[in-house]
Amino acid sequence: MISKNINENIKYIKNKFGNSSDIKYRTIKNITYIYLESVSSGELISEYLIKSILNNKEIYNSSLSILTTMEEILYNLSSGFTIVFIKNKVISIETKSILDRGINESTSETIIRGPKDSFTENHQINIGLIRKRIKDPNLWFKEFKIGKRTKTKVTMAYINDIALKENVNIIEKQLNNINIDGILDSSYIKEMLDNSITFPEIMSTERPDLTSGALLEGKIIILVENSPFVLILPSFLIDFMHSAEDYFESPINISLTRILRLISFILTIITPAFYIAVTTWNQEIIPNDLLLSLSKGRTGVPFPTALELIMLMTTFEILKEADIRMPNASGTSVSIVGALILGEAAVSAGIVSPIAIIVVAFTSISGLVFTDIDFINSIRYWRFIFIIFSIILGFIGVVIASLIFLTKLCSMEYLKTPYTIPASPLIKNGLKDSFIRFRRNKINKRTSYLTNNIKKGD
Amino acid sequence: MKKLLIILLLFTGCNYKELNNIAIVTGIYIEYNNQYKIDIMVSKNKNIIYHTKGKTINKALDNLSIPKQLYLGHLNIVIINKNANKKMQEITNYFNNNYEVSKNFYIMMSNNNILKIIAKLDPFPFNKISLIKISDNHLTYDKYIKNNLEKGYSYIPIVEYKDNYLTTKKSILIRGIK
Repeated sequence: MISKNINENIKYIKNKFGNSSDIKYRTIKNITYIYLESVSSGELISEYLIKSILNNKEIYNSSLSILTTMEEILYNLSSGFTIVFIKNKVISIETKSILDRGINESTSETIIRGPKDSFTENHQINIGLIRKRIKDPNLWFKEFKIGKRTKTKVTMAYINDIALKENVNIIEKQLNNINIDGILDSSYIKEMLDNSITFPEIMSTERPDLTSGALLEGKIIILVENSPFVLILPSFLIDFMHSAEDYFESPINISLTRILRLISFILTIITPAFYIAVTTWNQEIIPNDLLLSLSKGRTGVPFPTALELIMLMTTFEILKEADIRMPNASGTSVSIVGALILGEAAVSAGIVSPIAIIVVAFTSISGLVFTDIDFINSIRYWRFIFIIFSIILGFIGVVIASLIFLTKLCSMEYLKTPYTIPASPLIKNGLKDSFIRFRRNKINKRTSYLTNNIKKGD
Repeated sequence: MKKLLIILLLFTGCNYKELNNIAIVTGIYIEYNNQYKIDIMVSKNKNIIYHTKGKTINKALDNLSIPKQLYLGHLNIVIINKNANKKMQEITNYFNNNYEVSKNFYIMMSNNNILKIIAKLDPFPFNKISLIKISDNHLTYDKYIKNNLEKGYSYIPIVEYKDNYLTTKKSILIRGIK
């Protein structure tokens, strides 16, 4: 509760913050103001506040508001506002200092042709990047403050007459039910909303053009303060096979590229299991000369085929992880060491056979075609399941594992739409932008599984 | 789901073989003189021939002293000597019952041991064996069985070695198996 005595208020605030070193307060001409030096900018304070106090003019600022409770005072102080105690009233003035890095190029999703700006850690800048692309007043933003101690601003955005009302209500209820100490990044929200173990159902991206495209289709996005990654939900299997660049290139090239991505999705999961099944269980299908070369390549190798593959795949994952964490200076030497020397030396030392290295390299490279990290991780998990089944039963094991995979994929659903839409159930007007992309003037209706408002352009 | 996995584990057969633990058999030569004398041609870098003897084909192959497991999935030639003429039923029984053999190998008769000559070619002399299709007398095993089932009899070509080339000329008639 705010008391009438100003000094008591200030003592209360100082005690609440534990006499932190960045609390500063001052009294000029019966006006007391208090601010946190770390998040407020002294220049703005002198510009807005001290100038007008000393010249006896009115205090002017674009976001001036009168506060009534102590909780609001504490929240505004931490957000960078200055609290002014004047004549029984408490006013907060915005004097936030700039603590982010400005709009840069994205480091995780690079494209060649298309806009290169990406989201940053500043919440208002992120909202602005979307607003300036969709100038429709129907684009609504709803804010939640989640996290008991961090009180992070989480904003849900959607276009009102395109997105389905039920989806919005369900997500709002889920966001209101979150009860957690602190939200530090959008992935915290992603974990709470996405309850599937195998494939991710929420996509996170750093690009505003992809986000705006998703909004126009009827999807709902969630922006989290202090995080440059924005969540798009619901996301289906087909969305993880698209990239942002697909919409900026010619339709024929992109259709072929998408088919290539689909093929590499299948290949990256099946290839190790297929190799094990063919060389240890069903050697009959290998052509004659290939059988001889494979057999010569395996002379002197002490490990069974499956163990070879698992060792090589583990080494490759370690290399990938080390490549990310290593500082830039020694990045290139790590890749040279890993790729050439470990591969070559392992073969000449007789630990692995040469074709196992080819299989593992091909598998890993096909896996790097996709951009979303969660998707790549879940591919890794399924690869391993396929290998186990192929060790036990050979080709039949591969078939059984692919049946289990298909069943699992087709049984996932999020917000009452299945994961493998538009392939199953077959929705014809959703197919125009799925495995192949038609020309834009042929896609004149929105997909009907995300929205009821199908007609575009009116 | 877990029960499915456990049941699957119970179904694992003993058919797991590593590529460097198998002896790839590409040719077999069968003779009969009160007991079977079998020559096996194993291919790796070059063709090697092993000899065994035994009362039946299975016992003869068991007597073999190779440290590796025999793999008959890429069998390509079976040459049967004329003195095993009366034993065709046992031989076809053996090849029919063996699940691993790939039933599209060439089957032929001969008077002497042609396998030694074929063994001097490159390993997997399959492409060279097609040179034997000089006359259209070559016969694969599944065609042999088919002829037997349809007509009740089948011809098998005889292969001879004459002046540095292999020829198939005559055919011998084998009565079908009832």
